[in-house]
Amino acid sequence: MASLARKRNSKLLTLVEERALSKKVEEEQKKQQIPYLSKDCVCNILVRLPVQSLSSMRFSCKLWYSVITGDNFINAHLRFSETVLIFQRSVVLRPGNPVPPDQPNTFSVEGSLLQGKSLSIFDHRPSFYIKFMEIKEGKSKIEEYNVSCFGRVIASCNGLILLDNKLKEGGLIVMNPVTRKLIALPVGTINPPQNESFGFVLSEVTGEYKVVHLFRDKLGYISCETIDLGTRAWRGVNGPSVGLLQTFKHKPISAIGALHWLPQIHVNEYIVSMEVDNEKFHTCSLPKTGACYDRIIEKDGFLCFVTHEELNIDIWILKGLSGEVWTKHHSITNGSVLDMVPLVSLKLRWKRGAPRYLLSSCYLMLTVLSHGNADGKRATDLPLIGEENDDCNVNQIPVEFWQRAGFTLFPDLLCVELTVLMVLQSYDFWGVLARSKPPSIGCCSLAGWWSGDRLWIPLKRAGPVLALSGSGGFVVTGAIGDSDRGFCVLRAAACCLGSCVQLHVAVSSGCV
Amino acid sequence: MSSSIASSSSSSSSSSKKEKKISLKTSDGEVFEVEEPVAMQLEIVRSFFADNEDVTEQTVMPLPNVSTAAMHGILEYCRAHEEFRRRMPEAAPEEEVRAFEAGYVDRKSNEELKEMILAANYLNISKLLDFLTGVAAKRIENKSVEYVRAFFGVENDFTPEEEANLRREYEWAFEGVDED
Repeated sequence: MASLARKRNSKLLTLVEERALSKKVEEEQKKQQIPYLSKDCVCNILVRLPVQSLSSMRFSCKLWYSVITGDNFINAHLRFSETVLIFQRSVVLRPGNPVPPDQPNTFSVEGSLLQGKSLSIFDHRPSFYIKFMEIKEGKSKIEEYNVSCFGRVIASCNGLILLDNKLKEGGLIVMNPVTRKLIALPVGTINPPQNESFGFVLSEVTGEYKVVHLFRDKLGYISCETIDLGTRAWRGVNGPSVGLLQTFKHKPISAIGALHWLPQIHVNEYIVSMEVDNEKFHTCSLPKTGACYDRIIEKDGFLCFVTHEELNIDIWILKGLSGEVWTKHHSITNGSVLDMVPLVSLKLRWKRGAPRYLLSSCYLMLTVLSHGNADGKRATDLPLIGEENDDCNVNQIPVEFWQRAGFTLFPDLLCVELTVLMVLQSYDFWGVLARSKPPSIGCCSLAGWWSGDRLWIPLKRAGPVLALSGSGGFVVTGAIGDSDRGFCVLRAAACCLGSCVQLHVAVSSGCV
Repeated sequence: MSSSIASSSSSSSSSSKKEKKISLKTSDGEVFEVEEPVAMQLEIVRSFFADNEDVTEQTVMPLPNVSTAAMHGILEYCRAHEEFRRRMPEAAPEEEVRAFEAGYVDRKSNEELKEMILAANYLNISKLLDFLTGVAAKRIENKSVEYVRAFFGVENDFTPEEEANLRREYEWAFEGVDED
C-alpha cells in the first residue's frame, strides 16, 4: 500500500517536473519571439525621447548606458530636440510670507558647488527656479527643471546655460539643467554688469564650447577674453576697434560661426561680429539702417535682421560671413505692430508639414511665418501667456524675452503682476526705450516686475506718466525711492490689485 | 491579370502595361504582387530594380528579413500613402493622413510594432520608419526602466549594487514616471 502511494507520488512528481520544464521551454520560445531590434533601430527610437525619459532609460543595460551617454547619440539627440525657452522664476518674497520651502527633489546649484557644506549663510539670498517654456502645436507649457540657483542666466547654447556664480565674484557656471551636471569656470576679469557682455557658443571646428567675455576697461577700451570649456583658462583676445561697439545693451547673437552685436542702442548701420574660431572682430554692414525696434536674431543657424519698414516687418537673412549678401526673405505685411521688438525665432513643428517659425516680441504677440514663404503673413496671435494657467504672470516669461528687448535683469528681481495701470518714469529706463516717444497716458491690463528698487514694465506699456495719480479712481498708495538716480515709480492702485498692493506700491520723492 | 492589359501597338512591353506589378517574396515564402509605385517606396526594392539591369518583371525579389505579417502592415501603409499622394499632388490632406496613421497604429501591438520597425528599417522606407519609431518612442516615454526593458527584451546587466548606486546618483531621473 505504502509502496503504491510512493509510486504514485513519484509519478506525480515527474509529471509536475515535466510540466514545469515544458513551461520553461515555452517561455524561452516566447522570449525568442520578441523581435530583437538592432542597435540602430533602438537608437532611432531613443533619440526621439525627451531627455527626462532618457535619463532613466540609460539604466536599462550597460549597452544602452554607453550608447546614450556617447557623443554621437548626444549630437543626434540635439538635432531632434525642440527648442524651449529657458527662464528663471524668482522665489517670490512677500512681506509676511517666509521663503517658501524648496520643492522636494530640487537641485541647488550652489549647494552642489559647495558639496554639502552648509548653505545657511546664504539663506537670505533671493534665488531662482530654472524653468522652461515649451511650445507645441501652438500652445505653450511651462515645465520645471527643479533646479534652483542664486545667479542669473547669462547666456545659453544648445541647452547648456551659463550662470553667474554668486559664490565667487566674477565666476561663472556652465550647467546642463536636465542632467544637472555643472562646471564652475575660473574667474575672469571682473567688471560691473553694465560694462560687460557674455557670449556662449559652440565651435563647429573644434566641437568645443566657448565663453566670450567682452568688457570695457577703465580707459574705456573694449577688451575681450575667451575660455574653452576643455582647457578652462581665460585667454586675452584683441577686442573690437575703438569706438565700434558703443553699448552692451544688446546681447550677442550666435549664428553663421560668429557672435554678433548690435553696436548702438538706437540707430545701427552695421553689426560687430567675432568669428568663433579665429576670434577676430570685424564689422558687417546691415542691409538698411536699423532703428530702435530693429534687432538681429538667429534663425535656422543663419543671421537674421528684423526691421520695420513702414507698416511691414521685413526679415533679411545673411547665410555666411564671406561672400554672402543680405537677402530679404520675408515681409510680414498683415497686422504688424510698429514697435514690435523681435527677440527670438523658434522653429516649431506645427502638426505636419513645413516647419514654421515664431518671432516673438516682448509683449508676447507671436508672429507665425510659414517656412519658405516669401510673403509671410501673420497667421495667428498666440496668447502664449495665461492660456493654460490662469495665474500665469509676467515672471513666467522667459528671461530671454526681456534680455533681448534690451532690458536688464537683476538677480534679485522680484516679480509682480499689476492688473490696472502703471505709471512710470525713470531716466535710464526712458533713455533705453522711449526717448523718441513722448510720454502718453494709457490704461490697460499690464504687467511689470520689480528689480530691487525698480519697477520694470514691458515696452509697449511704458507709456503713462504722472497724470493719473489721485484721479480717475486710481490712488497712489505708496512710495519707494532711489535717490541716486532720481528714479520714480508711481503706481495707481485699485481694488483688483489684490495681493500686490502691500508689496511695492511706490512713488519716489521729488518726482510727483 | 494579363487580360486586363490594353493591347498596344508598341513593342515595348513595359510601357504598354497600365499598372506594372512587382513580386516580393517574404521570409515565409509568400509572394506579394505589389503595384509599382507602392513597391518603389521601398528603397531596397527601388535600388534593386535600378541597379540590376538583368531583372525583368517576372523577377521575384526575395525579402528574407520580412515576415508576411509585417509585409501586410507595411503595404497597408504604403498603399494608403500612395493613395494620398495620387489624390493630392501638392499637399497631403493632413487631417486624413493623421486619422489614418492614428487608426493604423492603434491596432498594432508592441510586438507587431517592433516587427514592423525591423522590416521598415531593412526595406529602408524612411517615412514609415520615422513614423513607427516616433510611435514606439511615444509608447515608452515616461515609462519605468522595467517597462522599457520588457518592451525591448533587454536584460539588465547591471549588478544590483551598480544599479542602486546609479539610482541614488540620479534619483531625480525616476520622478514622475507613468504607471506601466
